[in-house]
Amino acid sequence: MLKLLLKKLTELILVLFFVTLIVFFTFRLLPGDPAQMRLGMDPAPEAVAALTAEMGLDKPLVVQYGNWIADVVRGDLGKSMFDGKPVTELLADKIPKTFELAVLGALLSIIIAVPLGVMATLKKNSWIDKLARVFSLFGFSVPAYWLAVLLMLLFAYKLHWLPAGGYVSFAESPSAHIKALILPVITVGIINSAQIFRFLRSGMLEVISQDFIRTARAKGLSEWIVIGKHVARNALPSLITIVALNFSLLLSGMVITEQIFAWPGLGWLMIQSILSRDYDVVQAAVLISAVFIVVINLIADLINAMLDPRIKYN
Amino acid sequence: MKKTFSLLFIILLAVSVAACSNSSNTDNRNEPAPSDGAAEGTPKSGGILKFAQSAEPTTLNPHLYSTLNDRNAFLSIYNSLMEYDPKTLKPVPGIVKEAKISEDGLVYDLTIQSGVTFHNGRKLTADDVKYSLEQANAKEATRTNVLLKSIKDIKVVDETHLTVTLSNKDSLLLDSFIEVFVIPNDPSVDLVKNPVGTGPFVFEKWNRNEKIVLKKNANYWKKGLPYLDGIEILTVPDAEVKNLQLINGQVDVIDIVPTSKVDQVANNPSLNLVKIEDDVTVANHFLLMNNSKPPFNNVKFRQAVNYALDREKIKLSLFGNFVVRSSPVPSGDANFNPDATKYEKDLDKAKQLLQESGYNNEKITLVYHKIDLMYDTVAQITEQSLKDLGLNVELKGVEIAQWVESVFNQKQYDMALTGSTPKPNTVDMLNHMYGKQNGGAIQWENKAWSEKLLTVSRMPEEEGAKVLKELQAEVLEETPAIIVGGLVQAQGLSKKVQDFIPSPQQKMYFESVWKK
Repeated sequence: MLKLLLKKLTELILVLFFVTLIVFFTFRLLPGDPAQMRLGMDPAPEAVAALTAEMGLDKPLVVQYGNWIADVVRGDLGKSMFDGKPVTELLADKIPKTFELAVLGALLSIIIAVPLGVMATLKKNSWIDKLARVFSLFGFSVPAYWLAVLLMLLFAYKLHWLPAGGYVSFAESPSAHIKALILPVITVGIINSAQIFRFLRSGMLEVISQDFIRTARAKGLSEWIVIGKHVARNALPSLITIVALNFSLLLSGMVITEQIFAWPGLGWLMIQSILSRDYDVVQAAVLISAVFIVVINLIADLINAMLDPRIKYN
Repeated sequence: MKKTFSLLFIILLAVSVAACSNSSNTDNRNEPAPSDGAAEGTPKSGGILKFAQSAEPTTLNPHLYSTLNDRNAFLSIYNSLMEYDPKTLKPVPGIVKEAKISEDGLVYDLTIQSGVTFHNGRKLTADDVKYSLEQANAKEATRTNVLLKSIKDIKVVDETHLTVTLSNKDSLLLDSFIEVFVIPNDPSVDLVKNPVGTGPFVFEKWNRNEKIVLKKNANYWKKGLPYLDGIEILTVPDAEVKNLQLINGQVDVIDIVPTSKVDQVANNPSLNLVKIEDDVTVANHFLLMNNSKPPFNNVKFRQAVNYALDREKIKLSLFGNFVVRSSPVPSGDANFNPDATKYEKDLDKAKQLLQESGYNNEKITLVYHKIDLMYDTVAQITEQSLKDLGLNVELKGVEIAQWVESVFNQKQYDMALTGSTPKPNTVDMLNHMYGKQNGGAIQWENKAWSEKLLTVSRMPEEEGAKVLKELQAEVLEETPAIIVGGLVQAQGLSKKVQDFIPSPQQKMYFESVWKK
C-alpha cells in the first residue's frame, strides 16, 4: 500500500507540473493585455508600460513562469490585479462555498442514484427500471442552465418558496442560507445522479450475471442478502470510481451553476478572472482545482485497492 | 412502456409550461408605462436598499475605474466637484460651492463647501480638491484626463479656496468637474481596499461576487440626507435571474431590465420601470469602421452601409427599446441639426453607392462586444442588413478583453459593433463617436473637423450651437462611424423605492432615494 501511495504521489506531482505548464502558457496565448484591461480605453502608452512592468509582465515568459512556480512553492499565489487582494485570501473565501455546493450536490446525486440503480437492477425491464432510465436520460440531456432557470421559474417565480439565486452566508441567516442552497444543489444533484445511476446499473447487472451470484442464489440465500452482500460489495469499486470521477466533473460544472445562481464560489471567480485576464487568480484557481481532482481520484484508487484485493497497481 | 413515456412526457411538459408561463397579472401585452420614479408621499428614513447589477466592480478607485459597474458601486461613496441638475442636466454645485470665472475665461476661482468631513473624520480642504483634480488628470485616469486637458495650473489659496488656471478657454470645464470625484490627500488611505470619500454612504465591506456593503453617513454635509440606512450592491451575472430576483422581491433595484422583459416589469403592480425618454437618450449602438483601409476609407462605401441598416427591424426585435436615428445627437438636444443626413433605409440607393465605391466582394469581419441578448440582436440584424446590401460579411462575438485588444489597442479590425454612452453635452456626443474619445479606433483623419469641435467650448453659446450643427452635418455626410440607433436601457425598481431619478449615463444615484 505504501508503494502504491508513493507511486500515486509521484504521478500527482507530475500531473500538477503539466497543469502549471498548460495553464500558464495557454492563458498567455489568449488575446487581451491585462494592463490595458486594467487601465481602460486608450490609456497613455507609458501608463501601460509602467503597469506592465509593475505586474512583472515585461519579463520573458520563461522567467515569468519560473517566478510564479517559485512563489507557488513558497505558498505565495500572487495578488489579484484588480483589488490587490492576495489570491490565497480570495481562494480561502471561495473554495468552501464551492465545496458546500459540490459536496451536497454529490450527496444528493448518490441519494437519488443508488436506490434507483439498485431497484432498476433488481427489477430489470420493469416500469421502475424504465422510469429510472428515462430520468437518467433526462439528467444526461438537459443543460444545467436550462434546468436551473426552470427550477427558479417554478419555485421562485411561481410558488415563491425559494429565492431565485443569490447567496446569504450561514452566519448572517442560517435559514436564508439553506433556502439559497436548495435549488443549486438540486440542479447539481439531478445532473450528476444520471451518470452515477447509469454506471451503477450497468455495473450491478454485470455482477449479477456472474457465476458466484448464481451459486449464492442456488444456496438458497435471500435476494436481499445476494444483493446487499455479494452484488453491492462487488459493484462498490466501480461506484466509488464513478463518484470520484463525477466529483471532478461536478467541480468543473460549478462554473455554470455558480454563475446562474450568483453563488460566489471558485467557478464564478475563475470565469470572471479569465474574462478580465487576472492571471494570478486564474492560474491559482486552476491549479487548486487540479489538486482537488487528482487527490480525490487518488483517494478513490486507495479505497478501491483496500476494498478489492484483486486490484493491483503496477 | 408507451404509457410510461406518455405520462412522463405530459408531466415534463406540464412542469415546463407551468414554469415558463406568465402569471395572470403579467399576461397582457399592453404598452409599458415607464415611470420616472416620482415620489409618492413624504420621504422617510430607514431601510437597506438592495441593488443588483450585472458585473462585479473591478475597483472602487474613482480615478482608475473602467466600467459602469465600477462607477455605480462608488458613486454613493464619493462626491464630485459638480453635480448634474437631474431636470436640466446642467452642472450645479457639488463639493465646489461656487466658481467665479475670469473675463478671459482662463482662471477659475473655486470656493468649496465648508463643514464637509471625510468618512474617516478628517476635514475636507482645498488641498484635497487640488489632489483630486491632479489624480483625475493623471495619465492612468483614462476616463477623466481627456476632459481636463485644458488645466495648466492649480493653486490652493486657503482652506476653502483654490484657483484653476487654464491654457485655453474651456466652457465645458464645470461640466467635466461632474466626473471628478473627491478623495483625501492622505497616502495612508487605500482607495482599492478601504475607500474613503465624503459621499452619502460609508464603505463597510466588499466580499467579491457576494456584496458590497455601504452604510449611511450620519455626518453627511447635505442636511437630512441620505434617507436610507445603507445599500447592498449585489452582482447577478444572468440577466433573467436578476429580473426574477426583482420580481421575487429579493432586490429593490436592478441596473438593466432585459429588453424582452420590459413589458413584464412595466405591467407588474409591485414594480416600476424607469427609463430616459427616447428624444434625450444619449447612449448609442455604435458601428465602428476601420477608416485606415479599404473599403472603409471610401465615403461612398460608408454611406452605403448607413443607408442599408434596417433600424426599424431592430426596434421591433427589441420590443421598442431602441431609438431609430443615425445621429449621435438626440432630437431633444438643443443643438440637434434636423437637416443633417438621416440615412433612412434605402436599399436601392445603398446598392448604387456600393457599386460606385468599387467594393469587390472583399471579406469583412464584423466583431461585436458580446454582452447580452440585446447586443446579440442588434449584431445579427446589422449582419443581415449588410448581407442584404451584398457585403461578404462574417459576424463574430468577442468578450471584453479581446474587444479592447483588437479594436482599441491593436486597431486591427474591419467593422466593430458596441454600445457607447457619452456625457449629455453635444461636444462629448460628437467627440465620443468620431473624435479621440473612442480611442481613435476608427482612425478617421479629419483634423479640421476635430480641432473645430474642440474650439466650441471656447466660443459664446450661440456661435457654439451654430458650429455644432455644422459639424453634425459634416460628420454625418462623411459618416466615418455609424450610429445604428439610440441605446435604451431601463432600470427596474420595486414600488417601495421612491425618488430614484434615471440618469442619461445610467448612473445610479441613491443619495435622495427612500423606501416606503
